[in-house]
Amino acid sequence: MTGRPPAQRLAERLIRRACRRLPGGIRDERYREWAAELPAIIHDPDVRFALLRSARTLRYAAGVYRTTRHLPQAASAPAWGERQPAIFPRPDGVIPAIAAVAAWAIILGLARAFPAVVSSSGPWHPLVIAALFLPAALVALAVIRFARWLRRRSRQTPGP
Amino acid sequence: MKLTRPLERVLRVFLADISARHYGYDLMKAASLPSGTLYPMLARLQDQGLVSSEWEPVGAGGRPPRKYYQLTGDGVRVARLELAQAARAAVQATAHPAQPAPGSAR
Repeated sequence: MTGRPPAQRLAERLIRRACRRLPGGIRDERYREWAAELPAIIHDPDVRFALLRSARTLRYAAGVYRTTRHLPQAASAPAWGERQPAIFPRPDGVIPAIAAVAAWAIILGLARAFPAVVSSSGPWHPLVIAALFLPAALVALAVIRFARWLRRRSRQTPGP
Repeated sequence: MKLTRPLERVLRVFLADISARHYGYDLMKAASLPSGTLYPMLARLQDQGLVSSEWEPVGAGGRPPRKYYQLTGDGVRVARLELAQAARAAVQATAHPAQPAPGSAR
């Protein structure tokens, strides 16, 4: 038990993950900088409700996650001092796609396990609605992220 | 330097007290900008030598040390110039609204 609020711990994890994209020279410094802001956000006296402060903390971490894609150093310098660059880099959108398949599998499993519950409530059973919308949303997210990844790659590829 | 709205807000915060140092969240609140907009902007300003950063001493306030940002001398000069130009352009736009180009359809 560290004594830090769960939102702060989650935000730290997100920031740590984001910083892995950065070159080794600036990664630790950026992590220290961004993680040091979290106590100020999670204990911000100007925001009255704890839930809102937690949401702000997570939004801050999400913004940092986006930032690491746009930092100029991240684009120009080689990332991951310890790692060799991947020969087949993992495209964006893989994780939402896997999550969509997993969600479908879980929902189908639940529907098979409890067929009476699903059929008794008709088409508006929460499980049916979840089966329709959750995986579809994840697939849409995967497609969008993959398309952006392709566009970024095509921009980075030098012309003839 | 292209003066966008978010950049203008950040420069105004810095220029409100040029001797003040600001940490990230402080700037976010003052300029009403999300972290995803602010940090790339600060990185660009730092690359251009307009903003400098400094770590606060370890142990200050009993929390992890923060990184503080401040306009450099050059940054103050450029920021004032850019904001003055933007204000002048806004006044001109109000005084002389854009006229349709000759020959354009009305």
